[in-house]
Amino acid sequence: MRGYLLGRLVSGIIVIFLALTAVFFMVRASGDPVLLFAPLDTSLEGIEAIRERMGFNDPLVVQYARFIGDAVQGDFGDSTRERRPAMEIVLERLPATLQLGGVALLISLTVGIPLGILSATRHGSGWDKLARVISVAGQAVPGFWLGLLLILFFSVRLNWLPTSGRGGFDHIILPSVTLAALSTARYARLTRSTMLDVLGQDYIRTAKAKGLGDRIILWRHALKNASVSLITLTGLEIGRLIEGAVVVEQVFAWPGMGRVTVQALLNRDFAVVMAAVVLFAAMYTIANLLADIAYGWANPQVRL
Amino acid sequence: MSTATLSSAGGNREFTRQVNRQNRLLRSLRKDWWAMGSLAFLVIVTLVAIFSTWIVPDSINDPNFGARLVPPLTDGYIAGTDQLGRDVWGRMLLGARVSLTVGFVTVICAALIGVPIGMLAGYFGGWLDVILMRLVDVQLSFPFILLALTINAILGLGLRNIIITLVIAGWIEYARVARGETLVVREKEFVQAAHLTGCGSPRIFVRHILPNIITPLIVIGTLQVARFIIAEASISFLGFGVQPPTAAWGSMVSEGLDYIFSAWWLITLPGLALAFVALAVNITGDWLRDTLDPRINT
Repeated sequence: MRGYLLGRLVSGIIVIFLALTAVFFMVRASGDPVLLFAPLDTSLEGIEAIRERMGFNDPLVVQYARFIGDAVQGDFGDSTRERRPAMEIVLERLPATLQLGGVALLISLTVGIPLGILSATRHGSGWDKLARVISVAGQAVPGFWLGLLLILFFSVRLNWLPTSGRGGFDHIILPSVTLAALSTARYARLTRSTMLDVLGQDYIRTAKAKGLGDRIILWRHALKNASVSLITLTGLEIGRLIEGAVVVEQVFAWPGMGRVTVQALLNRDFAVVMAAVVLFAAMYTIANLLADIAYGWANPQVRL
Repeated sequence: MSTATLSSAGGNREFTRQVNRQNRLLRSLRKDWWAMGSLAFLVIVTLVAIFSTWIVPDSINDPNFGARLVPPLTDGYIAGTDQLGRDVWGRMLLGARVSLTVGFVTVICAALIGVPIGMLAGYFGGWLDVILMRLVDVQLSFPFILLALTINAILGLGLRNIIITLVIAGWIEYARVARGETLVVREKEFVQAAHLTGCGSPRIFVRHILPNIITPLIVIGTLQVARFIIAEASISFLGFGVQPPTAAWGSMVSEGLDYIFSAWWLITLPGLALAFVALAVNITGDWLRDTLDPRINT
């Protein structure tokens, strides 16, 4: 178990390293990197100054070694816009993103899984139809548009909820529901198909023949076995929530990592972009590690 | 002589298989009203996209300040007008062109790059396989939209670059699936037999492996069309990608943002078009999967 987790951790670090390398060379390959780092209104002398200060006159190998050396220490350089460490800017926004993603995950788990179970146990019923409509429609609706529709209805028309920003409880409702929509659809869909599969197994029939109650069969026999694929999905889902947050945070002006990254890209502030990339990759690696651990717990046949 | 017989028999089988597949698709389409409706809708949207430059007058992007923010279904405007007095319906028809071009071109290019690489990696293994799987890891740990935005920010804006961006970000999905399927098919007797009868690798790839892995690739390709269309719209919405005055559904929604309090249709209608097309593509993809190969889990 420990060896396996260590292996995963190492491969996670390799992945982050490769991601950094990719961004480094993409920025370099795009032409004059100074133009990417410099704010758009910089003068010619200003550009030369930045070039010298950031070491773009050095050979590429030297630049790369310095970049990786700094990155290992968590130093991605200063934001050209805010003139302070890029990592600091991104880390400040981490709690907001974790909060939004956490609430969204909670919503999709508490809505998607029961919906999928209802839809599987009452195959063909109204619940089943509802779950199928939600899982098909949920995957077709673009996140940014759903968010705007919710704003139009609940903020503009009804004036119940704030349109944007982070604040009290009422601020998080619309963004988290928007973010949760897609993943609720996926949970409902996967729970339904897995439960249908599990409920058709021999051991469920045996349990029924033994005279066990429906509730015990459902919770102790069926759901526990279905949970394996749900845990795998959750590992993937965390990554997708982070991805969705990039767009949703922009719609609701939610001050999280996604928003700061998009703003940095618009401002061509690549130090911040690189810091964010590393943090996103790290979050994803950790989520998958946790999913692996939970996986081994739910299914003792899997030896980590 | 013997090889000739073998290969012609193989050709016949393949032909029969194709005919069977077509028959099965047609039969199931007649029973599935949702799939039929979606497919019909997509055909109409595709025709609109192809002929939109003839349907919509060239002056569509010219401002007409006398008719700003006219609500839908008034003064002969089906979908109203925007902040510059431009006909929203006409621009939505033009927007179909951008979305469908992005969807189909990207999927085809991504498949053309990803499938051969995936097959090679799956068949030969070795260093190519190691590199590919690492790339898959890297890409999975990277939000797709963030990757696309970063590439787009570096390449520059515009429709051509957004397609390149999405291909770079998207080919790996095909490589992953093609690799996995090839790993399975490689061990089958008929591939071994082809190898033993002296078929070269290119022939084994094209004639023996590809026909057996194409079904999941078609299904994934169809579902990817919707994903890429939404990705393009999201990227254009965020201000990267397609730039004004070109009409694209994502950027139309983005332009309507400032008028969210006064003109609901600017945001709602282009997004609705987007959602309908994505829905139709997804229903078609689901139907293809259920009919061709229900084992595929997407």
